[in-house]
Amino acid sequence: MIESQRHSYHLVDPSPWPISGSLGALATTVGGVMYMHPFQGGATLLSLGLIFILYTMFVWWRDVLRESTLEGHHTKAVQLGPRYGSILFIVSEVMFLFAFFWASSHSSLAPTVEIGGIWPPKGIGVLDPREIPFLNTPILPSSGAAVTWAHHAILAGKEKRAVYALVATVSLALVSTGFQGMEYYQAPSTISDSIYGSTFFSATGFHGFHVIIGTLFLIICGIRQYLGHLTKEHHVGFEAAAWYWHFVDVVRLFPFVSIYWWGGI
Amino acid sequence: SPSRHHSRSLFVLTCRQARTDRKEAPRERARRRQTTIVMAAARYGLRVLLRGGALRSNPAAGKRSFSSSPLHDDAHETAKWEKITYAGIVTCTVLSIYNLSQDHPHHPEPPAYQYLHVRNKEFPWGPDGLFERKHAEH
Repeated sequence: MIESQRHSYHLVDPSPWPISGSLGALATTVGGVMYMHPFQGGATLLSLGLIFILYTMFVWWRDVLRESTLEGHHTKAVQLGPRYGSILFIVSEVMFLFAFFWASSHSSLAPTVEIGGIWPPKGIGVLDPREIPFLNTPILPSSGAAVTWAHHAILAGKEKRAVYALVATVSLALVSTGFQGMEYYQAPSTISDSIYGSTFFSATGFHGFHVIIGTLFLIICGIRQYLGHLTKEHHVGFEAAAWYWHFVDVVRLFPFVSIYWWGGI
Repeated sequence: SPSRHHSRSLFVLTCRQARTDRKEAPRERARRRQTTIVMAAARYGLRVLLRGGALRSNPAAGKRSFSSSPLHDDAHETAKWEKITYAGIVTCTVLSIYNLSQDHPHHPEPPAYQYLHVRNKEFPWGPDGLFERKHAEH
């Protein structure tokens, strides 16, 4: 294929995955609405939609990996696409999380009379920021250091070292998620306890959700490094995961300072 | 010949551009030059970012230029970040042991203010939130 073409662009083959992903998204949305309102069959449609989306993700990314590794379509010019895409995606994620910190600041800077005119609202027990929240904050940057270790190991051609570094990255990520779960379990309030609970759990919860997504991304990179997909010169998937991971570990500092510490004392 | 025709038309275009340039007010020209510099800087920054952070690319070697510098050798950087990771792990472990050895405070059940334990309608799965069993237990 490569020998016959005179340009460095990847002209993709027709694929069924865009339409199957769209149908999955449609089933998930309609099923989700039906489930949250008392319609029969909502849970079934929602589950089917989610399974469809997960299946599409698996087979679509499997195809992309084959195009990249076996067919060699991802030239330097083609690699620009996922790079631009990853940067724009992370920028949109920053804006998404910014909205939740905005909501928290909006509610806490001038607390309304309905919650007693104080922050945290009257009757709300808050977590001590010096306990698990403080413990959990250095774990993610340590994991960020481990992913940098993995990156340099890949660039230096130390393949085994890179796998070890990614195992360290993912382990720290899992420990962080574990502590977050423990913190939620011990938390004196829930998401339905006033505007404090709503803003606290939506901001920290969405951050935790992003930690889980980043962990899955890094696990895939670790497997691909183990299988020898990544080379010194070509490891765009790993770079995207590392950018995403740094975004997640830096963003952790904002809820710690503004929500746990400033908003909890 | 076509090549001579091409260079001639290029010459004409350049002259036209020069004429319009002269017509422009000096301030306008300075502003345009500034915009061009800003655009060039932005494009350069984006290109560096897209190349993966290396400031100068070396397409012939196909690897990062700082690999050639002895100070920022990748093997050296790998060893350095490995040590930083170990330091991080040790710090986190010490912090965890200290934290988990302390007993966590118990919060008294607050009065039933109307903004606590808000219920507008039943959840699809029943009366209580999925992670809210603590209200019954504590």
